[in-house]
Amino acid sequence: MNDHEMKMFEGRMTVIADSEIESIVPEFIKEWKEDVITMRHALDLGDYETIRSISHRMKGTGATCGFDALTALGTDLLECTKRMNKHAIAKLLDLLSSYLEKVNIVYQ
Amino acid sequence: MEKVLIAEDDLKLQKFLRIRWEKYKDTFETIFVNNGEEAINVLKQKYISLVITDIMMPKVDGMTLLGYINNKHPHIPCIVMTAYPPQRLGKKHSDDNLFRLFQKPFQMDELTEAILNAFEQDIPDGTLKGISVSSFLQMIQLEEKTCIFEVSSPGKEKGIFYFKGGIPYDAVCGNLKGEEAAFKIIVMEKAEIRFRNLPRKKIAKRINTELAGLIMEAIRRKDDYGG
Repeated sequence: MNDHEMKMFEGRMTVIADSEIESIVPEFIKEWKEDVITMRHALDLGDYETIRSISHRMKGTGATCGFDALTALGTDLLECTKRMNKHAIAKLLDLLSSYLEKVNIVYQ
Repeated sequence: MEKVLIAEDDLKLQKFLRIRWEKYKDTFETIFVNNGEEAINVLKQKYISLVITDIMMPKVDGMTLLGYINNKHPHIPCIVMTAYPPQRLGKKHSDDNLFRLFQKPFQMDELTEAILNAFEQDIPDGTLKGISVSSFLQMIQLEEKTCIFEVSSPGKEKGIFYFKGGIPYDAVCGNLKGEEAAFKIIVMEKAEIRFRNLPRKKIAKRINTELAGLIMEAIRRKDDYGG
């Protein structure tokens, strides 16, 4: 993990989640991974509206469900989308993908 | 049973809320819809205790939905949850109209607490039983009361009556409004009457007949059509 990743995910690689949502979290992770693929495709096409829409939703839902890093990444993605900063968006999508692969969920 | 209508186009959030509120199923029933249009359709058909809405939604957005509720169902408290900064909601739907605003992401426990608090807005021990609705309405008139109360009767839709200074102002019963709703409520039998707190919103006057006239017409209709 590079410095940027370390800073972004500091204290966020482990999510403490309520056991009552255990049945839906794997599906959420899968759908967020699909969102990354959709956003990468949209970035290739210059479709910033799709990226804005998905990252806006991620910003709102992420921390509500206990995934604070998703809200942070969603917020950054929204900012970069406003500026149409292709390079920064690509980097954030890499970070997001990495996070979704590595996140550790502990149910209580 | 209290009914909470949730208008939210994010299916993931819907699923999350549904599962987190499962443990409150004996306290409130949840009805999820994907946009404001679907929410309005539900409001036309069912008695709803509380509405929770997102702002940005397809077809009919949350702002339009709030406007509709303000106009047609001013007694229903609303909770708005949005990822947009509150100042972008504009003056039209500021604190006067909203019960509570939640910025996404939000703390689930706080939202749940706001829902439960909304139900408790009803005045404790404010329930009357065994009194005829028409007698009760005449008492409100005599006392020149400003109040809002819910009338329920076994097997019938709940009704809500609003009096201002002893004058019947508005009523809602199922999808009926104003005088039509009043006629249904007045003839309810074995009614239970429960006071609710007055909403901060201004309620439009939709009843233009005096109480005596309303009661007579309600009884006539009941005699003619069986209620």
